[in-house]
Amino acid sequence: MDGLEARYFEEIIRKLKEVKASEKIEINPQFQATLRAKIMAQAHVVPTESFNLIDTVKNWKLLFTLVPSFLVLMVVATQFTQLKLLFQKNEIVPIETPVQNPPQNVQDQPNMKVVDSVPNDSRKSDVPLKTFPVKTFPGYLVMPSPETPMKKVVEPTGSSTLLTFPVENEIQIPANPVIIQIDLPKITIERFDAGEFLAPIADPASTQLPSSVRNQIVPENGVLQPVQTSVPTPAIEQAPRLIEDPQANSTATQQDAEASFKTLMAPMSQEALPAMPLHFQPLDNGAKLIIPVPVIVKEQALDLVVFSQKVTFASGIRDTQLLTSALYPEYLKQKATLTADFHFEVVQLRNNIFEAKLIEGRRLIRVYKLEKRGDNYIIFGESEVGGRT
Amino acid sequence: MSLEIEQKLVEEAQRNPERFTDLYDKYFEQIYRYVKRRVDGVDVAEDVVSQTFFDAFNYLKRYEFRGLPFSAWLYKIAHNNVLKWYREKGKAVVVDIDEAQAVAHSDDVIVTVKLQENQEYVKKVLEQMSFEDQEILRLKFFEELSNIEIAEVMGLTANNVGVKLYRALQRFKQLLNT
Repeated sequence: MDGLEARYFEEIIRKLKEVKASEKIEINPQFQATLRAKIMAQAHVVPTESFNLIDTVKNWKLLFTLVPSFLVLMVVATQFTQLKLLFQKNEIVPIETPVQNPPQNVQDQPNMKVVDSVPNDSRKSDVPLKTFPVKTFPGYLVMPSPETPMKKVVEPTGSSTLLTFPVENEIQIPANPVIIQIDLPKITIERFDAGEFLAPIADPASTQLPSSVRNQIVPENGVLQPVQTSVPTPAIEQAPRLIEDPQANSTATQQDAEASFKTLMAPMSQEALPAMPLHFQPLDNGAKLIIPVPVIVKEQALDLVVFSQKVTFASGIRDTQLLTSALYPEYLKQKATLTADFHFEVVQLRNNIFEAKLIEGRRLIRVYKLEKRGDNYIIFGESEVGGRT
Repeated sequence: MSLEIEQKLVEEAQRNPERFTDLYDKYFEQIYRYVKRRVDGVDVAEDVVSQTFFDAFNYLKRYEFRGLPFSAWLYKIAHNNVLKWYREKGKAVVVDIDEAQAVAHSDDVIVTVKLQENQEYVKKVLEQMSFEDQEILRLKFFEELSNIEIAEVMGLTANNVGVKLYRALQRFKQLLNT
């Protein structure tokens, strides 16, 4: 009450205080003592608490709050650690009960089991697949939608159903042990360099064989020899192909074969993959995969200057350079089958007629007839001899 | 006694019920006078006071210190018991202005004039007021409680107490001047 109101009610307040002061309220001491004794008696009835009841209740409240919360958190954390959040693509999830109508029944029967699996049908890989998640615990099972063509194989016993879950552009490797056959384009290895042999493939688009495959090219004596590798133009239709060559057989594990295949397939487009006839079948553990690799070792082509040293002329022949130039294309044709100790011997038969003998070591390989026409020498005949000189 | 000391006294009484006698000795006369002013007769006052202290003893565990004196909590218990007594006895707590005016305009004008100058008249007029107005005026000017303490006792807000106190004084003044 502010001062203005106090002044306004000053007389009233004064009268009230006078009434209070005039009051004669006597307190009965006996009543006060009696009431005090009663309260003391009641206080004796109530035992002195050795502990604070309020604090105890608060502690119990705390326990009732914290303990269940901790247990719930533990359960959730445990479930999270065991939770399988994602399935790998095309992974076949064990389901116990056979499925007749997967879109409806799978959700109702989460305990179905797949007793076997079938490889992915690559012919249908171009069909756009739609999937729908099936809630199972833990994790999710991704099943094909009803529109998705699903391969269903029933065992002869009739009790189990085989399910496959195709995934686009996926190569499925079943668990059953089978043999892997890889159809690859032809690869011609002309030269093998020791440094290149150990170096990794820098350009993934290169058509060179990966190191894992090249490592398999080991001569029978186990000694690496420098060779030159020449690879055809990289094209889908001319993809590298391994041609069987019993002399160049080597062994490799299944993992090496798979790694080699993935490396070879890397530069290829995704659209081209399904068109390739791929038949993957895993091997038994520890089994060796035999991959035949043809190795054709050839002498590197000599240039014309070096080649001229391989040509000997009879006395009296003057146009040695022209004759050498005429013989050089023939050398290039035959160089694949020639060894390093070959040479040509040129003799003059008549005025314009010359004869060149291709000799490898002591073996006469071919005889060429050359004629001088103007300033050029033209081979007009050749014969394969193969005898000894 | 400061609030801190009083709070420690209450906490000791909460742990040890026998220590409640300290609070009893401290506030008995204060509560007794308050009740005696509000009820008729010594016996009724003693009953209400007894009930008040027993209630305080039994519910002492629930007491929580809110920055107000412990007496405010005791006044609140006593206020509720007085109100309960009024209800049980069928006492009229509604103000009867006509009756108060009838007292003021009694036929015995001489006696009335004398009463106006008498403190009994003031007390009589005060008793003719409503229970709430009487309670506010008594708590304010007889028990000398603050507006906050009155609000705690009557279950009102401090601002509401100020408004009600102003109106009660206006009505009391009007009754005295009539």
